[in-house]
Amino acid sequence: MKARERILARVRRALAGRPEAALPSVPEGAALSKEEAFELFKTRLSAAGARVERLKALEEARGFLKEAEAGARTAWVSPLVPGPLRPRLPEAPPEEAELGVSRAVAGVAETGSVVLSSREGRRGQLLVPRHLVWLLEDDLYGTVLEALRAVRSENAAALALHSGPSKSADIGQIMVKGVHGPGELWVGVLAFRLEAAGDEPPELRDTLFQLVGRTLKTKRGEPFLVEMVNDRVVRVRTRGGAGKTLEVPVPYLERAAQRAREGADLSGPSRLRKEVGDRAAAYAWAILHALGYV
Amino acid sequence: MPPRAYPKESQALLEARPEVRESVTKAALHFDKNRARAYGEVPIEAWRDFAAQTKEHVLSRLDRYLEEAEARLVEKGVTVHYAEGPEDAHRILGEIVRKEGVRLAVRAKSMLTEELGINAFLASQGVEVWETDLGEFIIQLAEEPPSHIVGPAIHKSLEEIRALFAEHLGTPEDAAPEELAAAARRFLRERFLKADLGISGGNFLVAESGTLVLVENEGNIRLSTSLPRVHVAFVGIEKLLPRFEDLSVFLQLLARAATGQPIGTFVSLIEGPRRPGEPDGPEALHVVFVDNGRTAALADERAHVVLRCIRCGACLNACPVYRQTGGHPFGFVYSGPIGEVLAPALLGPKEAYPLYHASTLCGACAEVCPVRIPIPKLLLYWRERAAREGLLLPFEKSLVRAYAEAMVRPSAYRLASKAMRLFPGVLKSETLPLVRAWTRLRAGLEPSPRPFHELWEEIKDEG
Repeated sequence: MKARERILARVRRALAGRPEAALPSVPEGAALSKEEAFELFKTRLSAAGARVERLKALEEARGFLKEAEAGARTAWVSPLVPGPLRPRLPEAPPEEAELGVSRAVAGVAETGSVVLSSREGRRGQLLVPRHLVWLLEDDLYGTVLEALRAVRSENAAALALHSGPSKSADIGQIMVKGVHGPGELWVGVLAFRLEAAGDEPPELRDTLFQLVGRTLKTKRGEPFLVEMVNDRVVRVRTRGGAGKTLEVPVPYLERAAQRAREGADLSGPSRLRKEVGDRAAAYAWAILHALGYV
Repeated sequence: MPPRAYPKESQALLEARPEVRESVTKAALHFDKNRARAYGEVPIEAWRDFAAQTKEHVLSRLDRYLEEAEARLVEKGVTVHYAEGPEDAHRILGEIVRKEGVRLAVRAKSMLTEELGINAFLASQGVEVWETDLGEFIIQLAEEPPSHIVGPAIHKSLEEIRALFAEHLGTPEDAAPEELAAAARRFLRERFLKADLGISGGNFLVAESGTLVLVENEGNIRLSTSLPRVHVAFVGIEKLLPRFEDLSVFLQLLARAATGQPIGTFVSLIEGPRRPGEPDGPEALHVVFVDNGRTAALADERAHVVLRCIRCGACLNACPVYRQTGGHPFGFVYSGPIGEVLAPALLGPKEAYPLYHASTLCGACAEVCPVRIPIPKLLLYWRERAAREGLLLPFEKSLVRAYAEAMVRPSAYRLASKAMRLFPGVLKSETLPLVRAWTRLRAGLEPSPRPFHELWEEIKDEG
């Protein structure tokens, strides 16, 4: 590390006796109403060549999805996308899929951006020719500053802001789309509560995704983070110290939910263990509790 | 060729390849028009003040921020290195290449890696390396250096690119831009999927969070930093920002200054290698902090402000001198106004001579600079230094001395200006070597019919 010491020494020598320049506070942008935020979001993203729709009911979202499916034979789907919003296409790896479906962790109106997390995988966000991104309206922010604050606690190796289809004007100043990343970006803003949609009660696995990124508490008050959800497991990370990672199988949660609907007493983790066995029951119980099953 | 060759190289280019001037001017004016519109949509003056002050603050406590950034990066599983110059950078990269068994590398556009000669080094190590930014890919095929910070291939016409792609990728002679781009996409997609190593620069690095920030429009940087199992980022030590929230202004300011967009189409915020449970991403991430002349620039109290630069290229687009030739004749990685003041700060005034003379001091660069670098003042500073350090040519010295004599003596000045008005032919006389050199590529000088001091007498009382 000799280079390190030499560079730091030269910096200190250069700055010796120089006063510290003041650090200004970060300018806050104007606050936008929900309607204004969506309008600006749509204006910016459309200008960048993306397709944006505000979807007021599950039926509309399914219609939008159907349009995005047109012409595609296979799809890559993010584990963060809930069942009703998953395409009815055979799944394929990102290298081959003709449609990719993501769920944004946030959206920004002033720049027309969706914020994507590496938790769902990065290849699917980049290699597909058409990229459909679902964004909950509650996750749409007016300014970059608000969105940055909201995603600060995301536990991910990389976040990315996508603000339109891939483009380049490097060939004779002529704009070309889909140079390396997706040539089409579709954004569906979900302006309805997913669990209240449709006539049938939603499947448990379709509601689990709402918990991603949230901190829950076990019955004994121990906080933990819901890190990731896919079709198989819910991954949680305990707080405090180094924190350990545990996986709660989705089928186990479904068995428990079924027992709860049948009227079994699941008033705490110990009752849960008795009824359906112990698969990280303390956390499983907290998850079921957060979703209103117990 | 070195910066010293600028006068000869720029002249040769203008004479031999006038089409370059046309391509560069068209592209630069297009960028500049979009920037002007984009500046008008936001509280631009407040943002520029914020950005200039924030950068100035970081520079004034750079040691502290470097240590903070390093600590945060290490906590997130990043391996941090320091490189004083190209030799260190090559050694560090060479070790990574050997340890990881790298055979194929993809490169995401980065001016710093141009400074460090990373491509040539990798080739010498037997590593196949591909530029993945479309503009950089074009000039890699043409075996040329970039001619603009943001648009490296703006000097190339569609016809030239068609011929280049026909030769290397087998596209038809009359291929449309979309076909050319699709051919490049297919060719590079294969390499992205096979590459062991992705190399990037860094637009910003946030000290408090250890976030590496990369901005682009094509998606090639995201691919280069997501697909290969190893990612190495070369970051100039001046790229630090104190707070994560500072990005809210810098991301927008950079894009608006560079191309007039509200934000780059793809912004990566990277905090370490792939985490447990994530489906993909690199297993190893190395950040190399690079000095390469930056501490020397920092030590110069008047010139250090050049380190605020965020490499947007706005000053190039605004510059009437740059627009005539593009970046190649400058003989330095950075060209145009910012290159003219970065070169002496990083290399020293002697090595950079006479780049800081390639300006009319019109001030257009300072008017557009998002971080308010006073480029014309810096140009004067370096000219002054050059004169003090005896770098001027003998005829320049005597010319300047004569001019100074005339300027401090009103009678001598009046006499000289009267002489020019009486014998205007002197300024057009092809027999005078100085006049001949001037008029070879420029319109002749025309003395004003009446001197300014006479006009002034008439207008000064008019209010």
